Amino acid sequence: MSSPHDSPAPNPPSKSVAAPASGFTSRIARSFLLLSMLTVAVVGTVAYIQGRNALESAARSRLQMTATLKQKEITRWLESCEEDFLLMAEFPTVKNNIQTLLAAQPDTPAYQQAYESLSAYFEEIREIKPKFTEISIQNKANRIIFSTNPELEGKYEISTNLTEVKSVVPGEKFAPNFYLSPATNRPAITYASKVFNSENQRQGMIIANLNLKRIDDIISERTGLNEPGETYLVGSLSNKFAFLARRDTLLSAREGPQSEGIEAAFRGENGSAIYDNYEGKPVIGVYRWLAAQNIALLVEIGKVEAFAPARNLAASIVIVGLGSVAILLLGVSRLARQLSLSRRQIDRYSRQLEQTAATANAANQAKSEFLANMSHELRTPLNAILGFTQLMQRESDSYGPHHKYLKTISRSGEHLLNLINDVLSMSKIEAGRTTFDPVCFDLRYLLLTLEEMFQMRAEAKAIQLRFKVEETVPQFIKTDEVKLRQVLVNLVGNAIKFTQAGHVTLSVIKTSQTNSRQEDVSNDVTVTESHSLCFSIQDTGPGIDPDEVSRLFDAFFQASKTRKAYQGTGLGLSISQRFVQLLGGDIHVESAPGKGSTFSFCIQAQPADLDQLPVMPLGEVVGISPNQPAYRILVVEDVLSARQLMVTLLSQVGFEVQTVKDGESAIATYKSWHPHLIWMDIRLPIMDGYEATKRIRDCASPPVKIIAITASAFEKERDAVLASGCDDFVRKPFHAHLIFEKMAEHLGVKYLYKNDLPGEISQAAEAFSGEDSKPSEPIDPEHLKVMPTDWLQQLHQAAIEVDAEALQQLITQIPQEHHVLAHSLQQLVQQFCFDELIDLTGAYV
Amino acid sequence: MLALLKHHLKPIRYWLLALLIAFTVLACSADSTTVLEGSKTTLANENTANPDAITMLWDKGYVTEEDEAIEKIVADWNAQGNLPIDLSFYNSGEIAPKTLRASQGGISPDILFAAKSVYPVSDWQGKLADVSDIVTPLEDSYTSTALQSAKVYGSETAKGRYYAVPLNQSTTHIYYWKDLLEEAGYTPADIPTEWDEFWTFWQTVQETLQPTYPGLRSIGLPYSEDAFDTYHIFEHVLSAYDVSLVDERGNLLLNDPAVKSDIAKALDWYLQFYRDGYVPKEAVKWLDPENNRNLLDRNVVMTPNPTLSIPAAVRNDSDIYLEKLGTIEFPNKPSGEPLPHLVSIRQAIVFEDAPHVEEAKAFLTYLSQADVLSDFLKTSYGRYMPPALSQIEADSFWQDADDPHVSTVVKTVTDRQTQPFPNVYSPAYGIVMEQNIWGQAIQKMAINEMSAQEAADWATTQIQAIFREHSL
Repeated sequence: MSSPHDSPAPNPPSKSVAAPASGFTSRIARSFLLLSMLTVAVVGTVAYIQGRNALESAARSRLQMTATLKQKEITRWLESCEEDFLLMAEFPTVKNNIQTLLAAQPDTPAYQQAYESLSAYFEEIREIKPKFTEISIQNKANRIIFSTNPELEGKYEISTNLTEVKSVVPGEKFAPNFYLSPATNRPAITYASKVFNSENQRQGMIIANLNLKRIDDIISERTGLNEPGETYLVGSLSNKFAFLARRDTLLSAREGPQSEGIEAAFRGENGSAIYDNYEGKPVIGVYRWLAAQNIALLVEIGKVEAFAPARNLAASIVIVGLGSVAILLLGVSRLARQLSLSRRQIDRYSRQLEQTAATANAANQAKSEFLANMSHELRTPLNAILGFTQLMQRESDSYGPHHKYLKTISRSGEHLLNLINDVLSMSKIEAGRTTFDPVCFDLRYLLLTLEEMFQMRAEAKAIQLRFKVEETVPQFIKTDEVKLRQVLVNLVGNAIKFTQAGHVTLSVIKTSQTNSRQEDVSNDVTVTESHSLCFSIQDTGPGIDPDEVSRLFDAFFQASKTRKAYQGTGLGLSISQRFVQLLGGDIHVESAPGKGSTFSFCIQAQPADLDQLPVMPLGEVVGISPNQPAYRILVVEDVLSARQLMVTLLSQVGFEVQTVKDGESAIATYKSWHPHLIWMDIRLPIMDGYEATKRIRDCASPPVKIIAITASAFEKERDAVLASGCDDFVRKPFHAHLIFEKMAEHLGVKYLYKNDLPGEISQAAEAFSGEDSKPSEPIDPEHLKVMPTDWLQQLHQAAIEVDAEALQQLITQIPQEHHVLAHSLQQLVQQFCFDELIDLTGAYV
Repeated sequence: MLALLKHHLKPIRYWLLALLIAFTVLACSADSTTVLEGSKTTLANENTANPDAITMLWDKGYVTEEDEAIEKIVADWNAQGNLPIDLSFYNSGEIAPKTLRASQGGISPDILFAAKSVYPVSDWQGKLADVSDIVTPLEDSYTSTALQSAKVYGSETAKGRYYAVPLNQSTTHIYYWKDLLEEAGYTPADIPTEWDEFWTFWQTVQETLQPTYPGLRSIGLPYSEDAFDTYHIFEHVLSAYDVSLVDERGNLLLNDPAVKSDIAKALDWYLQFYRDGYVPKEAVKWLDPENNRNLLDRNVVMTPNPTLSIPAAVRNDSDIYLEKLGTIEFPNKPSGEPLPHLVSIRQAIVFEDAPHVEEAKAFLTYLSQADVLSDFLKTSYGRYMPPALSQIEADSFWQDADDPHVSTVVKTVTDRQTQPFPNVYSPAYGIVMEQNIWGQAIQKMAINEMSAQEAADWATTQIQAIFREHSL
């Protein structure tokens, strides 16, 4: 039965289950969005980079092609200029006229004629060959004496700017000398050719300025450059980079353009790269150093324009991707909503289940509490009844009808106690609170006492009771003795109860010895031997119907077909089965109607540690041995009857006893009176036993032993009691000898015992030694014949009157040679088996 | 249930993420090879080398005769059955970068002669062939400035070795139109020899001639960072103002605040002619030939020039050469002391990794022979003088008193006080010259109207940075 504290902690996931459904949906949607955005971004990026790379590669090859075309065109154009210039200079009439001009005096007619002729000729040339802007003739002193541009006449041309043309060899290196024309402030090339006289003496030069506009045009033509691209030439004019030609050469030629491409070209490199051009605009550029012409050719296209298609592609992909994501997102959120709906339904169900479980728990709890209370409320008065009955029975002179009544009370009380115990045992089992409490004990003694206990009854019913214990069965074992005993009592009791003739046999064999590994608290693994012991109880009773066998171990079930209804709780077998399971076995039944039944089970038992064996109980205590201190005993008990019982029990023997009704008084008395031992009831008004014990323990001195008395049926309480500081624990109702035993254990009290029964003791000693374990014979009515008829009639009468004292008295009259008989009868009396006694003696009345 | 879902989702999510990353990496790396292919860089075939010839890059002359002179030497050399020389001309702005490109391309030219470039030490250090066997025999006759200049590219460990063959020397002189002076009512004898009076004189000439020639400017000083002439001339101005930037041990002397203030003074003085309109406005854009052209075209009355290229250009016009064009020295310093003229030494170098080092050295040995070199320089119309005074003194060409230009220059070199440019003492100063720090400072003042003090600060900061980075 689980208390609220024991029930499992609320499940953490169940909390998150209760989270709002919208959070769940949005989380799913968020994750989906994140992943899909990432994907779209990656695809877009990859497309852009790939597209860019492809475009860049294409742009580079296109630019390279353009550059090659331009380079060839420029070279061809310069060569054609060269050819035309030489053709013009070497033309015989022209040559002659020039020579005349250079040789003759300006005022001579020959000079005039030559001048005019040249004027006409060069003017014509200039018109049909627009590649020459100005054609001039320089004399030996570098002075221009003729020019198509009259302004130049009389001026000087510095030789360092001239490009001398001697002969044209196609493909040969020919570096035109670019210079900055001081007249136009623009780049210029001036071709020169020497003019020799007939003596091969140089007379002067013919010089022609090239129309570089044509190079500008070549450069500006966008062959293969459909996009906004730019081609230009850069040369080094007076140690500085300068545009030699480009689309808009009107821009100052002396700006000194700088860029990575120009610098690379001027280092003599041919290649392409992405860089910022002279305006700082990022471009894909192809740069070439035209070694023959000593100029750099650059073909560039804006990076932004070149990569626009890649950007468009990436943008389209991203837009389409985002569109798809949006559509998918709708689907995902629908799905998520569905999921959250069904989740909410599950939540509802689980909440209902939780509520149901809580209700069941509460009911169970109530049952548990009821049982606990009942146990207390029933046991406490029963304790008083049985206790006082025992006290009254102690009075040796209490013969007569009262004595008989007392016996009846005692017997009925014991029966009632058994019933209560059964019910409690069952409820403890159901609550899962029955624990396995292994102790070391003498198995053979246990079996002996059982045999003695049942012998009378068996004899009374004229059936044979046989206990067969195999030689190999160990005498001392460690297992839960109480439970094993209860199981055996139950099974043997049942067998005797239902068997009308024949025999009941209990066999014990040891089947095997196994080694089992055990992990103790300190995690040390110890290998211990364990005995497998099999018990079987065979009877010759009516047997059990096969239909009922399967239900035999159900609680409150009573086999009815073969067994007539019998008074009892119907819990015995059920409890036994559970106990056997606790001991590590299982009860099996073999039975057929009319052929008897066999109940068998095997348990695992460890070998006993002999140090832990309990001291054998001795006879009834009548006083304290002399030469011992006067023990002061404090009884703390709120119920008057229980208090009186304890006082009577203890003071009779010779203890000094004081009583108090509650915890507070207990502390006060402890402080003032210094008892040696306190019997502490746990349920007390004002301050309970736990608290009082703790307070007393807090005082530290004087030392005192505290033994708790509780009516609780639960093992759990034992731990709480010990934890509070009690030395030991006794459960109500208790036997008087247990009280004395505990006091002997804790205070070392030595007692005087009433009946010194040598036979019994020797018998017990024999059983203890295990030498003689043969079960006592069941009482055969024939055995009684050794006694006189009168004696038998008295015995019969005493049994009818349930007069244990009278029976005891009569048994003592049995001669020593029939001690077995005396012992058997004694057992029957002790077990309150008066019916059996009546049956046995009935024949003699 | 959600917890369960989450529990399942997590590993899946990581797995998916890993897959996506792997996919991305794979997808992106698949294309990287094509990218690399597209961006493959090759070196342009700058290789001018002919395996069967000595490759020689030569500075294009200012007069055709210069080119003809070296062509004749090469023709003679080739005719002697030597390994022929493949000669190419490049102008002074392009020849050094061209050489660098060829070197980077793997095949350096064998011989380089660049008239104007003062090559950065960092570019040439350790790459030049030791030509001590050519120069050492000439030690007795060559000027100390010429010998010192030939050691500039030597490393610390090779002190005293020569890494360049001096081929000529030149000094900066002032060229002017005598006829224009005459029109203004002056004779060459009227030109003052004292600093301030000298410059005021030319201003007066302009003022006098202005009514007749409204566009005429009297002073042809360059103000452009693109003209090497700018720093050549300004170094003289610094010298006139007693600014010494580098001592003979190569130490930079900029720590004295007085030096900076003197620099500012010199810059301010230089700029006044531009500010006051005695210089053509285009002078801020001039390249090296432009002052030549402007003088020859009679746009300016006078101009200083580092070589005799102006007289050489008109040598074939005896009227101009002998009668109209004049050559004079710089006037005395403002302090009255004579201004020492700065001597430039031009040298040929052989690249150590070139294919024909020994043959190239053989050619330079041939060229350095006194008579060959003398012929070469004379054929070039005397634009440059031989680096040995003995050669000048022994040759009638240089001693011809009737040649007004050569005689003036020879007198300066033989009789007057001269000194080398600072880069001879400190190779780092060569970078200052190569970067035309003074030209830049002057142009900044002329175009951006930067003050003289600011320009001086800027220039000194630059020079200090260059020395910090390149001092060896």
